[in-house]
Amino acid sequence: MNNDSTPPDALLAEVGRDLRPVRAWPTPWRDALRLSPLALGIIVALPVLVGLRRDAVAVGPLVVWGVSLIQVAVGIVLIWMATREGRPARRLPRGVVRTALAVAGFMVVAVSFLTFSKSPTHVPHGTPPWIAGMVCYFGSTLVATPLFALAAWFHSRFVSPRPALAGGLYGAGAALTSNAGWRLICPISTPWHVLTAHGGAVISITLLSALIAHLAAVRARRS
Amino acid sequence: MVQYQAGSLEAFRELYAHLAPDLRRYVRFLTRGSDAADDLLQDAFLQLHRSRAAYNPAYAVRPWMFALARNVCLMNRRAMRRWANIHAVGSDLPEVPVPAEVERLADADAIRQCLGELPTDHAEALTLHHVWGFSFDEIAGMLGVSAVAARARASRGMARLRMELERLSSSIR
Repeated sequence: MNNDSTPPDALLAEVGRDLRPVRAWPTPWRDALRLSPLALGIIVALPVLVGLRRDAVAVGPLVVWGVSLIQVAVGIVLIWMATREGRPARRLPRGVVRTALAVAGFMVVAVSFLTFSKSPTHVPHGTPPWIAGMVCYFGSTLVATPLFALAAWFHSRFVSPRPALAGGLYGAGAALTSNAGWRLICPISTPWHVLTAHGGAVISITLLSALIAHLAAVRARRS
Repeated sequence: MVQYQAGSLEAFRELYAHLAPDLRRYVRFLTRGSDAADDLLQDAFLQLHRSRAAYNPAYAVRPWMFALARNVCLMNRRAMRRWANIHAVGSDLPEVPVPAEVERLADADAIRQCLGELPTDHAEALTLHHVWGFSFDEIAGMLGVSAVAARARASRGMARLRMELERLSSSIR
């Protein structure tokens, strides 16, 4: 038999050690869409549990709910891109990935100015601005936790030469979704607060997710 | 692949028999004929085994496996070190397969020598298309570029290869 086409014994032994049947994973779109109930749950649960922002009427339903729904949709698209980046032979062009990340960043900035233009509200008197900032930073990071818990599971599925990029895309999607929910309850619209606290949380979640994916890949390589 | 996912060792053997010869040449191309190529090929099949659930029957198996092998080559630090050493030494001709379109222009060694002169991304797109027969859409998914960029790389690679061959033949004359 041709040596080229016969698997070596060591490889066969390794493969034979674990041959339990596996179920094929869904396509990236289905994978990403499975998270949409959770994402929509976040933007419904927060106003129900904490209360809708006080200036919701002044801002208007289109900017309050419409923009949050668009943000969730962009978040799901980013998660879809992450699952594609994490699979061999399904990667998207670098330009598309960069554009999507830029759109996500631009969206956070544009939404903060749009909301401020509709209803300029500031940190309430008597509340130190840094405390308001910390509450929103940690609050919106915490809101991303359910999606983030799934990140470990997603990251373990990545088979990518650029795991940090796949993780970053996933994190950006989760962060954008949590930001969409948090802006529904935060009554402060002044841009410096929104950009530092809310935007800071988006950046932190994205970077943390990229780091986790990188470490998961390093661990997988060592095992 | 579906039978392999269902737990058939025989299906794995068939898959290996079907893919390994071409993959070995591809890995040798990526590692410039390094001795590590066979190890990396086994690593690629091990990676396939560990992530066999990630494969969806909607995808073509061959580009999937080539992309996996490419990932293994890129991510393997040892391979990269050897690759760098080989580049630094620059001794032997790289084991690059010869595209059929230029076979008549010169002998295989001359073509290999010229292919070795091409930028890596051009040479890779060129050989993936002209030697292994992947479509530009498939190459795009494997390399993380658009199909247009994959076509442009292959086309520039071919143009440069012809130029190098002409230069080589004129220098011999």
